[in-house]
Amino acid sequence: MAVREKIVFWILHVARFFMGGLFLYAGATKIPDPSGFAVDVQNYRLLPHILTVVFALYLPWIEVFCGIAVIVRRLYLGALGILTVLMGIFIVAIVSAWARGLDISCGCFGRHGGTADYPWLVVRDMAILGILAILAAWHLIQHRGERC
Amino acid sequence: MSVLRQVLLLCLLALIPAVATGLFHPKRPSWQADALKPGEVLLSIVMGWKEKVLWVDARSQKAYDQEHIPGAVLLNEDAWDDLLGGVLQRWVPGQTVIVYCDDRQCRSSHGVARRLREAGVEPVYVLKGGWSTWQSAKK
Repeated sequence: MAVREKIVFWILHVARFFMGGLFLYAGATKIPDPSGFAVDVQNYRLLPHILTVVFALYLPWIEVFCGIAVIVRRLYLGALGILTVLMGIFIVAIVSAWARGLDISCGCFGRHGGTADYPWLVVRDMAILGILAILAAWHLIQHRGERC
Repeated sequence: MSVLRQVLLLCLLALIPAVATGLFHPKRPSWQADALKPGEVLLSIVMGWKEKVLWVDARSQKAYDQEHIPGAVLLNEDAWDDLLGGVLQRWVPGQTVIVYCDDRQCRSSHGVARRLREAGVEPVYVLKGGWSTWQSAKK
């Protein structure tokens, strides 16, 4: 393997562990207080209450399982697919809240931090979305010709 | 395994603890939208009080500068130390304090209310529905 390929290989492995760890952490920080997370979701004013509760109960565990799947590279493309869709939803929700001038907390990592810094949140989530897409593309290139 | 099957399997795996969380977690969210949390009060109730309450705006400085409940004083957790003095100057001991912020089920107002109680201010309530409820009531 050429030096450049090795460097790319390790960068992508680090990115994979980082992404997996990030979502594992994001889910784990929400699990202790689902009620609080439901309030954060409610504050976006995008979902009816019943769906807010379902989302608040379900999303943290989705993040945890997908994070683990990305780290251990099992059900890998499925996890990357779910996380990519989720990031798309998060970006739309954040931009929507920003456009409506809502003064809310992001709720991204449990009940930490103050009011959402919208430009930063959008840039951060776009970067995460980009890394997830690169990881999926890398996996597909590596396993070209094989079944998933 | 196809990607779709992986997605379904992950969703099913996550569903099990999610259901358990909804059934057994001590902090599981309420399925009832209008349940009042401890320390919350409805605007209709506040409007019925004869005493003059002190409104505390827990939103950002920018939101406060744009518009706020008449007579409200700004106090948020981002600038707590700078703003608390102003609130204590305006507050008469025994006067009821109502904290509000922008959100429907406001989070920051609960934090501000808790810290006010810790600072010895009582009684303190959080306005259910916050600023948006106030605006809706004005229409």
